[in-house]
Amino acid sequence: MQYDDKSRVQKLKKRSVVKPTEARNRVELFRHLPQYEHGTQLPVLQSKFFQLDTLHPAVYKVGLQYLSGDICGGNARCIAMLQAFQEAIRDYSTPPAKTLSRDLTAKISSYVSFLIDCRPLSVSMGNAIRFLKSQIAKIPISLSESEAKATLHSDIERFINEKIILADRVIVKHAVTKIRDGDVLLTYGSSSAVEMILQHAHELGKQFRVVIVDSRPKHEGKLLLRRLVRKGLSCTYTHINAISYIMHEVTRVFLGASSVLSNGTVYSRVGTACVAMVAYGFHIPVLVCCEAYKFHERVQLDSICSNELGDPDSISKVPGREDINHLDGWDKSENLQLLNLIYDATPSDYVSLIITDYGMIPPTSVPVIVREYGRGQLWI
Amino acid sequence: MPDTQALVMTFLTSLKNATARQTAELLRSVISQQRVPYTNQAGALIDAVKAVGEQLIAANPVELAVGNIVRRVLHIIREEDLSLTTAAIGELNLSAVSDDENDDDRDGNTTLSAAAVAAAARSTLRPPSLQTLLEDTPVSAAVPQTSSSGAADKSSRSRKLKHDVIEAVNELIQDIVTCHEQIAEQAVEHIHQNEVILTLGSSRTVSEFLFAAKEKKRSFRVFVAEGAPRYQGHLLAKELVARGLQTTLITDSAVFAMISRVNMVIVGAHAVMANGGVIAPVGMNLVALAAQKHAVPFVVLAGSHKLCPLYPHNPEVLLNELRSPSELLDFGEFSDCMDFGSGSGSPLLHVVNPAFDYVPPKLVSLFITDAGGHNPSYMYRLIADYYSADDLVVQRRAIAGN
Repeated sequence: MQYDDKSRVQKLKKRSVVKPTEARNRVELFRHLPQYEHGTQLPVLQSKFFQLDTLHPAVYKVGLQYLSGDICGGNARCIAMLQAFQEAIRDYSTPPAKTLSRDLTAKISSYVSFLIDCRPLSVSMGNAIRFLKSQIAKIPISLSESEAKATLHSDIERFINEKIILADRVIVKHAVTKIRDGDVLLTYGSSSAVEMILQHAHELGKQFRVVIVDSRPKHEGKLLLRRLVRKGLSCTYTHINAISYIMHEVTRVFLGASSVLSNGTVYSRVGTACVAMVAYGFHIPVLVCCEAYKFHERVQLDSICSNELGDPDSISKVPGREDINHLDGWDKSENLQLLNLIYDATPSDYVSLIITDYGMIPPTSVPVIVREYGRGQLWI
Repeated sequence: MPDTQALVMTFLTSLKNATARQTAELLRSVISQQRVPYTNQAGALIDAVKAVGEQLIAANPVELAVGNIVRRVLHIIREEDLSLTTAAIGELNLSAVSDDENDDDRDGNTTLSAAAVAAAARSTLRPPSLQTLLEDTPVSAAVPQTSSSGAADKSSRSRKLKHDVIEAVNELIQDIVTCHEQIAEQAVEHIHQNEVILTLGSSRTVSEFLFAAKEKKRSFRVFVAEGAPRYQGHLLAKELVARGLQTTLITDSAVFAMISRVNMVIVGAHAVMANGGVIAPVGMNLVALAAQKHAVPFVVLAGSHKLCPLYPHNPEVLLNELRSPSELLDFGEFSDCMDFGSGSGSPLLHVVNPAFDYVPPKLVSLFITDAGGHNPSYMYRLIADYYSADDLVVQRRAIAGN
């Protein structure tokens, strides 16, 4: 993915279904990353629906949902993609004179590049795709087509069940042991694992308070807030700037992650690093909840070498505050750039504990898990 | 003094937008309308200013600049009175030497004057010296009683005191108004070529500082963090772009991610406390911690009228304002969560929206004021220049026996 190399970008544009509109006013520091504007793609894609016969409709639907932001969060995206692939495999039939494994792999690759055009892959999706491709490659030639498709279907089902659904249950079981009566728990944004932990602890009858920290431009915390208050938890809501003010009352910090890298760096929603840094400054334990299938052998030191850029227009406007309109027409001035980072990298010193389905481990043990339970043994 | 009271009342109602300059102008009119008695006119002025100052500070204690200016004016009154006294003493001594026949008459006066000089010298305006330490006379908190040495001198001196004080207050107002230029003059010493500067929110001092560097042809880029929930960063970004500076607007959550590529953080302050700590718009502590982690200098620009002689005890609570939650949550959206009927009868949902943040002095690398650049550990010394120790608590002393 080298978007500062012009020749590669040209090749990519020719192949892609989704025609990216070049972002105006590119931020120099992020020239190596794609800077597209997603908002304008949706109507174009919707009109093209009946013309794309190379694409399975289920995959197309999932791609549109990514583009519009309806499906958000590592687990949700991964499950949606795998279920779409399940449907695509069910409807698949091998063309004559081709082997199933090679042709199916090529088809899956084309689906994946469509999904990348809609929205860059998350680490969880990347690991799931690698699993699927390795399973396809393992199918013996002697197997009939219907049997092969049934095997793949059940493999995907098992992956979703073991690596995501059951893993979450194990994480919740481990994590509630870390919550005591009288705790004030802080969480940032909206993480599915942390939400499950809080709900389960509340059902067990533990007495605690929750602080939800939110930030622009997605305001994901508002959705979590609504769901938790519905369940009867006592919540405090604030924005990330006020974190030094609220951290005095907090006893534990629970964070979710998009991925944990091999040097212990936690790669998750932008702002997580700020929260972890302030918590570390106040000597408050930071617990990261992450399923093991999201671990990756890549290493990363800062948030700039690899990231995702979102729609800059969502920064120039503030929903609900019409008076903040100083930046209308920002694209006309070439001196102004708006930067909407999606992820950031939290250094491992700020993290006290990572709760995974393999147990509760320190950040330094992540490469051990990646190596010992890596591909091959992972999918028993 | 009904006129001044009316002025004070209108001022209090508009205290939301009170600035240091307006406070100084108000106090100037209070002083000019105050009628001073013949004896101890400085004391009368001080009482009048304290009366008004008490009301101003009580109306909005978080607006520290108001209290600062009140204390500055009190210090000015004491200083002017002291310089007038020493000048008068000087005259008296000369006349005593030249006129020997009237020694007996003058004796009482000169001894009183000597005591007055000692008492004045012992006041905190002068550092203690051996002479004052060995004096026996009790320390008087009030300004020394000047001896009666002629009615003519007296009335001219009273007019002179008010006149001097008003002149000094005018100088103070001038300083407040021109502090931006004096700080901006130092911009070239700190910004070189190809720099990347980060700032949060919007501050007039910071924008003037950056413009001055741009005028001097320094090339640099600016990252502006938007400073939710007031979003003043948007304003600053617009101004900087209009002047031709390369600006990138980022969200506050991206500060840690971007600070590794930043050379310097330059911010403004709401107030600077006596220990060198900074009261700044919310989010500043986050930036300061991130800057410390990445060894990026954290520079605070503040005019000298923002320097407060108070020590910050529990500043997150006592020197903070909690603003309306509607800036964070739309009430219409969340009205169903504000259910008072559950359990203890209190709502399950609380919203916290503080306006200010406290940055401890160890996170600040440098203060740039209109009097030059200083370390945080030096700020307490500047207080001795601008304030008197008697004025830390602005309260009228109860007059005994009344």
